[in-house]
Amino acid sequence: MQDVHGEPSHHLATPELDLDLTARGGHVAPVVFHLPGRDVSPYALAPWLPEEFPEQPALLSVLRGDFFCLPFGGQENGPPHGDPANAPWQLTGETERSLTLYQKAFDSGGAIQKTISVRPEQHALFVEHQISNLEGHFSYGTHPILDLSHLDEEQGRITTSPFRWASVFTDSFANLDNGDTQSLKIGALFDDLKSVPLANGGTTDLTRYPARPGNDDLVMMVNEAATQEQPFAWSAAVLDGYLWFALLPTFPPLSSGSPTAVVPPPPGTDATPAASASKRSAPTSATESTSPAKIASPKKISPPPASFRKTNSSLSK
Amino acid sequence: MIQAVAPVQDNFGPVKSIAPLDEHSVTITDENNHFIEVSLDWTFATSQ
Repeated sequence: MQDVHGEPSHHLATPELDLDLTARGGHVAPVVFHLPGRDVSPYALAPWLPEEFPEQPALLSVLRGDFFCLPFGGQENGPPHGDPANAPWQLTGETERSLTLYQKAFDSGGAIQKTISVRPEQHALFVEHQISNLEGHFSYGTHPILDLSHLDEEQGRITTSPFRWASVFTDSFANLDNGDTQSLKIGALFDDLKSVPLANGGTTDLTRYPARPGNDDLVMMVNEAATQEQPFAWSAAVLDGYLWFALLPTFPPLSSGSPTAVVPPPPGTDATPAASASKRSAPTSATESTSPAKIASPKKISPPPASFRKTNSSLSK
Repeated sequence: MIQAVAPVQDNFGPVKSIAPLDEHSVTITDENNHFIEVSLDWTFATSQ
């Protein structure tokens, strides 16, 4: 391991990319993709070092890139986003093209195996979380954070696969007590990212970033059902001369015939896929048995409690 | 989950669709119908 941005990290180097993965919290970043003639590094790292905030949960002091959350959001008896985003991971496997880590999560009781792999001539991370010994009702998801701070105003363009339900978070999201502000209308439903209601009237275009500086907002979307022609959900960010995109499975999978699935948050919105969607016909959590389950994306989601505060601000400030 | 990058021209606009081309590649199309083809084993994202 080596220290990267102040945190001991495992390194994976392939012809396609170099990545660092923190042992604490399993945060992946930086990831430098070696595109033809150009290196790009889309993920954000917090503008502080872990040693500057040792009293904070590792989620915040280490904060960078992407990490796995179980539960997704806050909880009464554990750190925000759970042990997977805060506690140490043990390296259990390493090849020329993959890293495998293990964590026994003491808050949920689950045992989690994280594998990040790279395939030849593909500038992509293949991310898998395999969970066992988990029983109960849980939300979970990944948490990609992109760095758009170097772009001109509204240069970054973020879109997602078609969605069948979308809403601004149904409670305050910004830390208003600390003087933070939010711009969107709490609880507003919308069907077009280009026209989302503002708190003070009118609408704003959530496909353009950076925008609305100084505000912390949260929106949630549930994607349309998978089809043979569109078997996965996606989100994409067009940046400066390249695009970042994520592909996610739909849940249940296409073969089951169920329409329920979740699209990840547009990274530039600083949004997390937490929703009180259960009141509006969108399932928000999953009941897990002790059977192992492989998870590759946000599956079903639950809202964080009111006491849970926003955890990343590097995108919007 | 797959997270990936691909180079695009400066005039490439907001992504309108990402769809399979074959089992090992996807087509990414922008709002102006510019498109790129990207080598990617996308079935990983649907086999979890």
